[in-house]
Amino acid sequence: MDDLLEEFIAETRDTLETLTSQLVQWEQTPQDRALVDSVFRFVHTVKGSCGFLDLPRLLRLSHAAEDLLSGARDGVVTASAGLVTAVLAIIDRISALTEALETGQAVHDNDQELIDAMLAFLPTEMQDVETPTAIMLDEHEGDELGPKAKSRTVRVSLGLLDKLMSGVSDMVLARNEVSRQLRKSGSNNELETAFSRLSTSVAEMRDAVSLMRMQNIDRLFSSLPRLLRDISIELDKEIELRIEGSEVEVDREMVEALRDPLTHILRNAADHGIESADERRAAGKDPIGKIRIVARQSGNQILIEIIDDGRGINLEKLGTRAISAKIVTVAEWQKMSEKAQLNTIFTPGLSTADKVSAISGRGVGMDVVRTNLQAVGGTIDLENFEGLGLKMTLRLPLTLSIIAGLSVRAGDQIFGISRNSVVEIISTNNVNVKIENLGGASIACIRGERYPYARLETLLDIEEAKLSAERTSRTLIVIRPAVGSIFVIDVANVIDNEELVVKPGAPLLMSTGLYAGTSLPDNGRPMLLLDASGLASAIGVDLTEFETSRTDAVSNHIQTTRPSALLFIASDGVKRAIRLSVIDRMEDVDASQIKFVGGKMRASVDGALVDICELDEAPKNGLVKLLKLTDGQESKYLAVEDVLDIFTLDGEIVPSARPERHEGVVNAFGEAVELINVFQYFEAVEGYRNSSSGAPLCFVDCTEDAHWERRILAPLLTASGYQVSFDDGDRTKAAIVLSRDATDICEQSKDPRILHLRDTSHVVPNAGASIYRYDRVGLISAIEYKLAGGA
Amino acid sequence: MASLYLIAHINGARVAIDSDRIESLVHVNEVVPVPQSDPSIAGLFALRSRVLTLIDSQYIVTGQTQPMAKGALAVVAEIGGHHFGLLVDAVEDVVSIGDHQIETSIKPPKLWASLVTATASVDGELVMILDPACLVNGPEALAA
Repeated sequence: MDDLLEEFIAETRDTLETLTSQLVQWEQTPQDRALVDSVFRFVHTVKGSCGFLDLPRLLRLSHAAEDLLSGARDGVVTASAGLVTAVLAIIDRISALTEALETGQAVHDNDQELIDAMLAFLPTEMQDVETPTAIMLDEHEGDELGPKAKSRTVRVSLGLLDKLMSGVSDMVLARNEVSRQLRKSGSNNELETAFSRLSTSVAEMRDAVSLMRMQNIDRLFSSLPRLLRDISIELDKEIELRIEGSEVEVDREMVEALRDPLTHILRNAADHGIESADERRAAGKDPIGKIRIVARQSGNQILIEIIDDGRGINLEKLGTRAISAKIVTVAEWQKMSEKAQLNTIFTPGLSTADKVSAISGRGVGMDVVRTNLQAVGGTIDLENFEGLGLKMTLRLPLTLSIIAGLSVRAGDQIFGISRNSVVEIISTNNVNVKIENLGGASIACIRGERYPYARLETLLDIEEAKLSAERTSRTLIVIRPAVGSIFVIDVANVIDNEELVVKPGAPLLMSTGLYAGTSLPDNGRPMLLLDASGLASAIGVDLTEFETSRTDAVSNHIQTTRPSALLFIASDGVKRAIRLSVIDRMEDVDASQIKFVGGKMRASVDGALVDICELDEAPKNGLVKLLKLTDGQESKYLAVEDVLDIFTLDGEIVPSARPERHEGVVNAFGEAVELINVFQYFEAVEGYRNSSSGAPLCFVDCTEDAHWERRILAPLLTASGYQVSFDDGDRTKAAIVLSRDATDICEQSKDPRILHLRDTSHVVPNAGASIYRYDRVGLISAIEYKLAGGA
Repeated sequence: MASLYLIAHINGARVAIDSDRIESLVHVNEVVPVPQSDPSIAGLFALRSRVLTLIDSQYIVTGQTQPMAKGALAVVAEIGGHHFGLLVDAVEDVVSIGDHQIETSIKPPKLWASLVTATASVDGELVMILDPACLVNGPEALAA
């Protein structure tokens, strides 16, 4: 019985939300049979369950509502504002009673008044014909009202879901441990294959579980039409609400967290934003106000835009208010940018409403909205079109529990910080960075802008790790907290960019104000997540200070005196690095502009054909990310999958085994990656140009079917700027004769042009001057040496 | 009504902790310190995929932080929706303590007064019945 009741409560609560929005819709489109049917069906279900569970009050209410709706179905009554209000009153009561069932609190019983009020809409003769209605309905239930094809679902308690989630996280940790052990114990192909299968399925499972927490944002939006309807009736304004993007999925906790802020914003928009019908007419607008709510997913963020076509924010008025409320001084106001002025509406105690209404205008509101959003890691932006409307953009992380994080080192500890608040990461060695001293306090000056500054170690009172030989600089992180102005913290270094599962910290820990929670990265060592606002107040940043206008500093524009490299994912999926100095810019080129012509992949951009390197196959459609490389004269595209980050090449460059492909191996964020040898792309160009201008001729002495010479040696020589010939007739005029034939060694003394290539890297005794045939550098320099007249 | 209690040592004293409140007993190997936090927090440690807060029980009693040894014993308990590890010196046994064993006339010493709910006599020896929640909320209780 208890189970049944719980089920009933949960189900009713779910449907009530949808129902109210449908009722409101019905009011607007009274002819829509399907809507009435659907509302009717719900009320009927509730009625049935109430009878079964012996809940007399609910039964009476739902029964009455059913009567009225069946009248509506039969066309006896039509939807009107009054009628819908009456039905909504019943629905509200049902919802209140349902909640009461759970909490055990009493709800005042004036049900009969509500019922009477509603039934007054029915023509008198209809009022007492319950039995036929009920019978008629049972018939209908069978055929036309048959359940719509629903996706199959089960109800699962959140607790169980959380348990599943932590179970899966355990699995991930265990997997990482196994992988560590595997690496230690050496390779065993079969085991590795089996492990990688396990690994993939664990990863899939983790994704699936995180999806389970997702919920349609419609759950949040479905209550809004009703809300707006109530407001517009109260304010006597006609407002049309359009909702787009209800299918966007968000974390279910996010739905709850957003409910209040969104309600606030909508109230504000309806009350302050939308003018009265007369005013609207006078302004030449449609007398019906419009509010549009658009939700969409963009990367790992959810964007919710609330756009109204009301009067917008009158900055002059806002300024007067702000000044009279002593929030800013006249002088300050005049100096503020428009955006900063606009943002004063988030200051507690400020309202632009002329009069306080029941709905809004008490000056509490926008600050609460912003605080609530910040609590879930979101931000709010305003775009004001004075006289034409206001657009608010809420940006929210996709889930509450997983954030894009940056792990940083301070002392010998590692901390996480949400990447959302990070504006820029810059090395202290950068010429544009200066740490200034101001009466004992430090100020960071980056490209002429000054920011409050502190060392993370100082803030946290931990010991600083000594700078080592390979790490001579520290890293500055420019942070824009949700509240307050930008500041800079100085950390030993940035370690990684990773997705962090956020877990709330114990109250004792949170009471420090410095931490946003804890996380357990894949290495299994707990990590503290730093709270940007907490750090700001620890530094002493004035939290009410308004954002000063600043040019958008994008981390891509970091210029350093030491060489920097770009970390990217190559087209074959491997992380590589390339020197930043050769990159002109990044372009997204449409697949239709890319073609394999003339033996090369080329892109036609702005009428010119540019070679694309490292792209094996022309994509069918979509955009291809290309890095435009330049050596000052020639341009080449390098196809990449994605661009990750910029880092300084301050570590050692370990020589590569294939110097023609990679300059070496470097350390990028704790990972060894290949630094691409850019010259490989450009030297091909040189060869092509030189061949026509009398490049030295190399004769390669080999048989017709010598694969190595023809396939490997010849292209290498061509690429290095020599002409190659296999024609015996060219032997006499060639500047260099290359041969693998041992007999040629004997002739070497006679013909100084002969260069012998040997098959082993070991020097063979009595072999004379010979070059290991895969020693590319050696070979080229030997050729150059001979050309220069050496023997 | 007798219930089971775990006898543990904190700061050399024997205390009994209701076994219903205890989730498990673990050896803590790696602790991540929490800078700028209340000194009663010894740090964070990972237990399977969870992050637990380690409480320096001795600090709460004596006001002296205790040096963390590798492999220190901790009693894991859920308090107020969060999981904590409570550092103990050693554990003895699980014993049953009934109402008749409560010594109402013996008050715990002042140091322990805020943490202990009662004193009981077990096998002729006195133990203090410790409320784990007081260890976590201790500082506030002391401040009040």
